[in-house]
Amino acid sequence: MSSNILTAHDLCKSFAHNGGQVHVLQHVDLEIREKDFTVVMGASGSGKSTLLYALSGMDKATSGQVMFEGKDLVKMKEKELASLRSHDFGFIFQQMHLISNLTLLENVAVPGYLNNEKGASEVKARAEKLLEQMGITDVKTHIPSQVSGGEQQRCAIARAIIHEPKLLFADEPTGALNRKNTREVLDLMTDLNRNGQSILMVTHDLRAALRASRLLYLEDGNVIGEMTLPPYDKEEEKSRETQVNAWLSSMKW
Amino acid sequence: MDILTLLRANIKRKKGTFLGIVLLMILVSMFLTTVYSVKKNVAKSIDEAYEEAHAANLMMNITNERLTDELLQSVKDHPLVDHVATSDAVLMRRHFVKDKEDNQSWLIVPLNEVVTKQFTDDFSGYLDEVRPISPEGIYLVQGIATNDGCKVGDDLRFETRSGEYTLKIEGFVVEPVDGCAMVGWKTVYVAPETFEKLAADVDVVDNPDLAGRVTIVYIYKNADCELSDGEFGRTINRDTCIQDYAYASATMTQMKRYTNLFSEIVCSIMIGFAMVLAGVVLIIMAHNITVTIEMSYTELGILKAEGFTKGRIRVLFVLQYLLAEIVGAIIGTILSIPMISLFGGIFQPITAIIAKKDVDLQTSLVLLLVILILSVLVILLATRKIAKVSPVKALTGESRDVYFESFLTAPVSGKNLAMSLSYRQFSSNKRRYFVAIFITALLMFFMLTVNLMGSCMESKSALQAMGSILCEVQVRPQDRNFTEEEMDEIESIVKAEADVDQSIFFRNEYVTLNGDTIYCQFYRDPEMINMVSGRAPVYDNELVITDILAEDMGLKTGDKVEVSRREFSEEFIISGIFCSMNDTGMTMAMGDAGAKKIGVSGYVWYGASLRDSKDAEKVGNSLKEKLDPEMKIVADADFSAISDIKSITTAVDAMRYTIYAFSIIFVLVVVSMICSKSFTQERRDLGIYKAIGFTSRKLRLLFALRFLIIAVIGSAIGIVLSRLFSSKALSMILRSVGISNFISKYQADTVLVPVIILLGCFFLFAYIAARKVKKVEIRELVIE
Ligand SMILES: Nc1ncnc2c1ncn2[C@@H]1O[C@H](COP(=O)(O)OP(=O)(O)OP(=O)(O)O)[C@@H](O)[C@H]1O
Ligand SMILES: [Mg+2]
Repeated sequence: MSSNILTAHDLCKSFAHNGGQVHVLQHVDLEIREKDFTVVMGASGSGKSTLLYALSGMDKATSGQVMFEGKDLVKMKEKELASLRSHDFGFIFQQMHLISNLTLLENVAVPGYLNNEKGASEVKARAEKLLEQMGITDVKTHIPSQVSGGEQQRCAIARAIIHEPKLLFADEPTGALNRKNTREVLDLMTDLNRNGQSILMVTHDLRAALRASRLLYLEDGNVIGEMTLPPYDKEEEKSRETQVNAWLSSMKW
Repeated sequence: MDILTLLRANIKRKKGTFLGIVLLMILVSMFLTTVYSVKKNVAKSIDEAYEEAHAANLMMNITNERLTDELLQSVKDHPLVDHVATSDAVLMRRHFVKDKEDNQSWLIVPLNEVVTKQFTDDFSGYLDEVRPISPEGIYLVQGIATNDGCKVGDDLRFETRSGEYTLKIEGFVVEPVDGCAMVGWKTVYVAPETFEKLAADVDVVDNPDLAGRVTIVYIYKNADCELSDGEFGRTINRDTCIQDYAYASATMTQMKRYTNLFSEIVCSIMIGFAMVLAGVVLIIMAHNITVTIEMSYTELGILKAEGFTKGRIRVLFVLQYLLAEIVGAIIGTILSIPMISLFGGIFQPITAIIAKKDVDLQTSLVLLLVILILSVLVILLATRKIAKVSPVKALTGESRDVYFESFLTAPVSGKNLAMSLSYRQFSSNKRRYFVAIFITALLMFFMLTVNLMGSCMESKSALQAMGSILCEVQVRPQDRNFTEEEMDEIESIVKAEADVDQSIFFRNEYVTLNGDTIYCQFYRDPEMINMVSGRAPVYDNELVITDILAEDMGLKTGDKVEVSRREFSEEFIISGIFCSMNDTGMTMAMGDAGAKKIGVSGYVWYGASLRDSKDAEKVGNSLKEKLDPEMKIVADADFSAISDIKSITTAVDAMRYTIYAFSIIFVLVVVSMICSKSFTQERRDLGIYKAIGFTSRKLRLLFALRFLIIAVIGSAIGIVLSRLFSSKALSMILRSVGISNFISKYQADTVLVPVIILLGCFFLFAYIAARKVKKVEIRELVIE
């Protein structure tokens, strides 16, 4: 068993809404383990995105702790959080969110330039390599609006890992993609995980959930179920699907 | 939905834009009203002062022994003349204010009832009545205070051949005709008994050309005479020749023009600037409207789907912006009232008359109306695009494409991440920033132009090139001409001590050129004359004129002219055009040979322009040691001491700072408006930048850098514009002071100061305006 990379304790998040308070996350306790492909599932509105944003420091939790490498994200200042984002975490959005006036290559390279860990030319070479790995070298000088959604998302993945993050977050990365693109993106992520990348992904797509080595189920702001799976193998997809489906039904999915 | 509800909602939602337009309009209307009112007030106050002082249409100074009773009588009998008044005066050329010599000639007159207004000692107002003067006292005009920096209580010393006189400045009075700082002679007043003594003493002086008894002749036009003052003067002179006997003469029109000259120049520059500001407001409005339409395609589509015609939507725009403008115009006009009192006095040291503080509402209203009408046109033009918004297209979310092209686009580089990213943000949305660039260029042009004007006033070589004679070392004999030996001696002494750029023996006198009294310069060495074209006047029938005089009198090189002076009258040929600022450029020059032909001989002034001003003292000491002790020697390395433009410099500075201040406020408003529009459009990108690890501070820096790029481009264009047009513009504006070939000297600070101000403001204001970046939450990215 590998060690924990990120732990949440008593994590709460509420929003002020119409004069009242909406409690989205309610006392969540959770550990994310290194090298795992952790997938959080749950119904729409169960708070998956909220959880992911709170765990990644993209958003501040209302109370509780999120510990990463001995430091509490909830207590961090903007500057520390920014540094965390540019050094230790990577993030993939459902809507890709590439910067509209940068080429794909530049979109990938900018976070690498920003964190100053490697020289500019090294970053650029790595960005080129990642784009090749993602199969979008042909369109690297295009801007996002000139390429397809699948290509955009692959670019977003490359951007998220350009700086070799310790933990990669993904919020429904396939949510905006068609069947073929979904498969390709998931394959890429599975590959990354196989090569040692720790991933925390949120989804309500069964096909995405199948890639997990560990599944969590979120309901009304609480983790209510957990299942560990052997590493994903394409050959055994059918049986894996049955297994996950059974677990999900037990969670009243 | 009725249009008023919509209007109210729109204004509430676009508060920033609305307030921006209001603010700009406040500034423009305040500026315009203030400048126009001040301009009008100065002119009106001068007119009133002339009227109150019963200024004559024509005045001349004639030395007593030349003014015969017959001559005076012939003028009195002239059919065009209503009446003639005379005043006894003592011409005094050598006077020391606070032990420093004043270079103008003074006419000392006994205090009389014509003087009706006296300044309070701090020049802030008039006394109820003119105080009696003591026998030891003297009353001066404000122009002297401006030029010499003297005040009530200071001592004044006259040196004449009959001895020295020391008087105390007891006050300053209004003499509207020659009291202003721009006129080269001054009337001053003493007690009658003091005058009697002075006059009796001076009567024995041997050179009446330089000091002595003078009669000031005031000639008044008949009420029904329709001739202009100039024509009146020419007619009188043709029929009586009186002017040929005068050593100085002027018409009322001329004197008013001199008095008002400088304020006119400053006001016209300021009006030009105000026009530019008004133009900027229009440009910003047009730009804002285009961007708004681009950004609210959907909204406009909805309005159209709801049955709003494009006409009504355009009316909505017109109402919205017009309302902002009207609100601004009203506030601005009200604010101009204190501004007028604040700035109304700015020209007083030069005009020597307290200006009124009236608000010129009429002109201001007309101008504002013009701006409003232009606005409506601009808005209608800018909203043409609304016709193209189709409800379907807008509602299906087909919005504008991201603007991207390879031209002008530089790759984002890892080494200069901040700079290259900012440049990309700029280059991928150039169109939006054209306005800012254009405005920066205009402001830069204006700032540079006033700076050039200012710095040329402070630069010896520039002033010389434009025809001003500036000499660190000056020598004058006491009430007589130099002898030949003295001239040789002076030149050799000066040359032994320092490198000399120009060495000039000079005298000047008013002569009659084709019937007009013109300031004539006589040079021992006509090669010294600063020629523009043609040849210096070496032969005895040659003279040169300035291009200003040439244009005014319709003359050109090669023309034959008639020059008369006293009993002499000779034909001359114009051998060329020269450059001179004396007598506001209405001047001519001739050499020694020509001078002799009209009875002028000898020189009364020597000046040396040194290569290195610092040598002045050395040269001065050597001259003082070796020359006749009665010879008057001035040696001053300080440039401002040898040019009489101190008063001008202060007003130019005031103008410069006003233009700076307004430019800064305009930049502030323009930057915040454009910034907030960019901000709304880029909110999503900002969230993404934050998600990949950019801090708010870094993002603000990107914003600031982007606007810095805009400022750099705008400034560069402004500098190019200035190189192309500043000199031309200034020559046009300054022609009235005798500068027809303005020479631009770009010194480091001329350019650097405005560049630093503009770049700094753009950077700083953008950084401040982008503070809202802090409020962008990455979380906003999910709400889709
Ligand atoms: N800013 C907010 N203000 C108020 N309520 C919010 C806010 N953001 C989220 N919520 C609420 O919190 C709950 C959880 O939202 P969240 O986006 O985390 O759900 P989710 O599980 O990601 O849903 P989906 O599967 O649709 O993406 C929802 O009920 C949502 O309405
Ligand atoms: Mg979600």
